[in-house]
Amino acid sequence: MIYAVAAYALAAVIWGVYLVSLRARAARIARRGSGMRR
Amino acid sequence: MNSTIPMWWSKGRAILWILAVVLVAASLYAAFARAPVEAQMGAVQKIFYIHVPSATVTLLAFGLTFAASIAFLATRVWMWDAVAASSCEVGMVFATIVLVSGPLWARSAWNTWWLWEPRLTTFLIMWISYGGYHVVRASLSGGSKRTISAVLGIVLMVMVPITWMSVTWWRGSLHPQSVTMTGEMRQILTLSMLAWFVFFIAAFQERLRLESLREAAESGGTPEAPR
Repeated sequence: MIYAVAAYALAAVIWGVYLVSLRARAARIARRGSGMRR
Repeated sequence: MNSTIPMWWSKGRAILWILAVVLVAASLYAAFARAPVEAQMGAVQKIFYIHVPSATVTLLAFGLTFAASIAFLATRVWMWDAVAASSCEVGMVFATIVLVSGPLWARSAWNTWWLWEPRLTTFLIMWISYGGYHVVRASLSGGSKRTISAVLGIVLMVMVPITWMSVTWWRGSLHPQSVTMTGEMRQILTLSMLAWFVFFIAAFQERLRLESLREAAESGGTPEAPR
């Protein structure tokens, strides 16, 4: 059971990191865009 | 062409995420609380309900990259390049989960973390190849970036049927050519397939939105603030 739980936990970590990175990249682009308009 | 994603797509974003999270939660509950314990492998077989759907979605994602790359070369509309890159990136995340969950299953089922057998080897080569797509794309700028990415998106597609057919084409594969499931296991696998497919669509549209923001910023438009 420990391997099954580890597989799902690692998948959750991978998705968590990826979705946070998407959000961070979107925020950076929006910041750069607003900086260009000033 | 307008560099923003269609309004109907943006409006469905929250609904899609709620649906994806509910379906994934239901599939996790079903896998751990409802699925019968497999007689030979025991509880570790529950990895099956994330491993197989993730592998299937990976191949579909790379297939979408292929189709969108052709569409970009034919039309030169930026959105097709965005679809190809977004699908490829989200597909890579699913492929990574396959490569992480597989060895955990193999350690218990085959008593080894890794074997250079056909399916594992071709899947790893595919993962490295599509990783190369992103490395090449990140190293380019200007007009050549989209064209070279599209060519790569088409050429790399050759890895998808090779990976899929590897268990048939080469001897010595420990992966079965087909899996026959019945009853509750089959229902839970179907639910897991649906859940991870909807999750792919949710993550894909999120990644597509990022491309839309980038396009708007580069073309001097007004990128919307992330919510």
